[in-house]
Amino acid sequence: MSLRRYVIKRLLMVIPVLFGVSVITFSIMQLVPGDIVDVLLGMDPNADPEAAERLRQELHLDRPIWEQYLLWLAGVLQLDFGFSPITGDVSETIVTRLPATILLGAMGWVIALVLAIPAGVYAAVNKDELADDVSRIAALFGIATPNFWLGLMLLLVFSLWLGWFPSIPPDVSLLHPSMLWYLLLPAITLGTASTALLMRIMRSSMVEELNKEYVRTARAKGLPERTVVLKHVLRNSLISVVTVAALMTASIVDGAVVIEVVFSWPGLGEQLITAIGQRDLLVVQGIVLLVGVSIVIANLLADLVYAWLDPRIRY
Amino acid sequence: MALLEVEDLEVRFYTEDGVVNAVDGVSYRIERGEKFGVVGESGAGKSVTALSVMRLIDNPGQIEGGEIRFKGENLLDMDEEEIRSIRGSEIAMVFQDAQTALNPVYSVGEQIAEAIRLHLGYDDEAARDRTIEMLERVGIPDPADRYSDYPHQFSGGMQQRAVIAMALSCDPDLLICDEPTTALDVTIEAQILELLDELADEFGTAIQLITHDLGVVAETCDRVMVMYAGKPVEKAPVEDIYYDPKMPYTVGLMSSIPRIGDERDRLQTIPGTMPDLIQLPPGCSFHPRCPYAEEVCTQIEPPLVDPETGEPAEGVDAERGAACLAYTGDLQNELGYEVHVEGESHRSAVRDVEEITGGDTDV
Repeated sequence: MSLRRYVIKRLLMVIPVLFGVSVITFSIMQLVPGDIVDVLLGMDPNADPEAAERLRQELHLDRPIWEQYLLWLAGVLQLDFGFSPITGDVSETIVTRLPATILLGAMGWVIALVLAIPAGVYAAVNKDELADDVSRIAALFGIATPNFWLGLMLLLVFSLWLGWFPSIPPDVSLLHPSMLWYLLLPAITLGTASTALLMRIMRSSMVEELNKEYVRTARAKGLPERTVVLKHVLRNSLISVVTVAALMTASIVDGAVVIEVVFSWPGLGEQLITAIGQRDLLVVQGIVLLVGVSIVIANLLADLVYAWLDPRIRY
Repeated sequence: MALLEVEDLEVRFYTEDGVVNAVDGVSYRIERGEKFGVVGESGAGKSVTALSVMRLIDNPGQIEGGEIRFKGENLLDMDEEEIRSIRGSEIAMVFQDAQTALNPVYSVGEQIAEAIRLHLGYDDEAARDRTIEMLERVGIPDPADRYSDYPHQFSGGMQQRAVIAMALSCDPDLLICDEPTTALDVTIEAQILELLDELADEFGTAIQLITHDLGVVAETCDRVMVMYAGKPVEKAPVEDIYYDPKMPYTVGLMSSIPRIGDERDRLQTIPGTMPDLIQLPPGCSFHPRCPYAEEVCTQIEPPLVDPETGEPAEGVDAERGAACLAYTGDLQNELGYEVHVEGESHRSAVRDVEEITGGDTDV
């Protein structure tokens, strides 16, 4: 099987998964206790009955449930997530918030990878020596430290005491340098937990690969140790790291929710918390769907990266 | 000056269970273009000897003593940079299991070309051309197409051919083959041995062939060293090993080779297993398994001596040596075995070594 067929096959497999995601997200609305319209209107006994009726129409609540689903899905596919009586057009709410979250997630991600991979490689090459022990302890701290606590501590030390960073985001555009500077603390907070785990996976995977015979062959060829490790061993060890990295998308996303609140970051996570507080169910539904889809996509990308790393998977 | 001279090599592994004397006082030499066999059971120290020559002993192993002179220069004195320039270019190695010896995520061609670029300084294209030429030399059909194939797309025999191409790609003077055919089936084994033999002659490469199979040695080698528990126990030209083995362990190895037309119902085996290298038995390490062992074998460690004269034969240049007290005059009885040779002329003709009498085994 060629690479192209592998990719096509893998893409087709996404369809049923996305279908499942959409069904579960759709059921959020159905599983809410009580009348969904009352909930959406904030359980206000004085609510305008006309508004309630309009909402009922809009959600097609008079139709059978499968029709409701299909109509909802048709809307979603056109990026129409409905109209919330509280915050207005859901798509617009999401679109204005999304870039901030993507930026935070991406930076946290990059920080995790940039720290974890070299640290893991270094620990593996110096197995059972001081560097390995230090990395082990650091990883333990990283995994054991709750995100919100670390965020608060960083704010306390670097923003309040040292004054290196502002404590609330500056009022400038997202890609402005001072904004990126501000973003550093939340991104570090977000990246740390993942760094610790990724580094351990990187190390153990590399230690295992270093004992394989092809490593001896590579050394017997006279290759410098650097090439042996960074060319031959690294690529083989990355396969399990990619798996974990993809699975960690979920923890990056839920980490972002907490961190955005701690750092008053105007992203989707903060919006999600607000929406939950206000029972703004349409916004919750939209964000949950988006998170679900992004995790599916992350896993799809991981599978494509596998195929690129390891030719045996393509066939 | 011989191509390779190993003198009194000692390698120890410092494990949690104790110190393993993996190689203990091994000396041998290999001349240019010569084919030298190293034979013994698993754990005899053959592979460790070979890896020492490449300076590829990993922790917790240490080369503790001796010299390894390659073209007169002691490899053990070289720094990492110098030894790297020899690895793969002047001394190359073919490993036991080609499937695991090749990196699964790089194409076979790239893995060969890599060494060529490194040692011969070829650019990408020239290295590619030479790789294709090497693949053709080792008998891989459509080498240009198979250049970009990955190891898993090759059969076991093809993989070993590719590994041989890799080893010979920089035209080394010494090729160390560590059980190169153990992982292959018998028909492929014969092809690979023939290929090695042919290419070594063509390239003028000396071979150190490590194997547990005396049949393979007979096919290929000029001289042989038999190892047991980290020590050399017999050294001889290949004919002598077959027609006139001197050490009871060698005799045991010979009689455990099955042959066509064999009248015996069961395979002859050497009783027992190789001793624990951390706690070697006192005296001769082989005595618990030796049918001719006497009281004295538990007390004196036999030196490697010339079996004819009893003169010491420990040195690098000794042609013939056997480590058995029978040749130092310490043994009371004679070694009671006879060697029958059936058929003549061809080196690998059917031979039979039979034990006539067994000694006292309850020492």
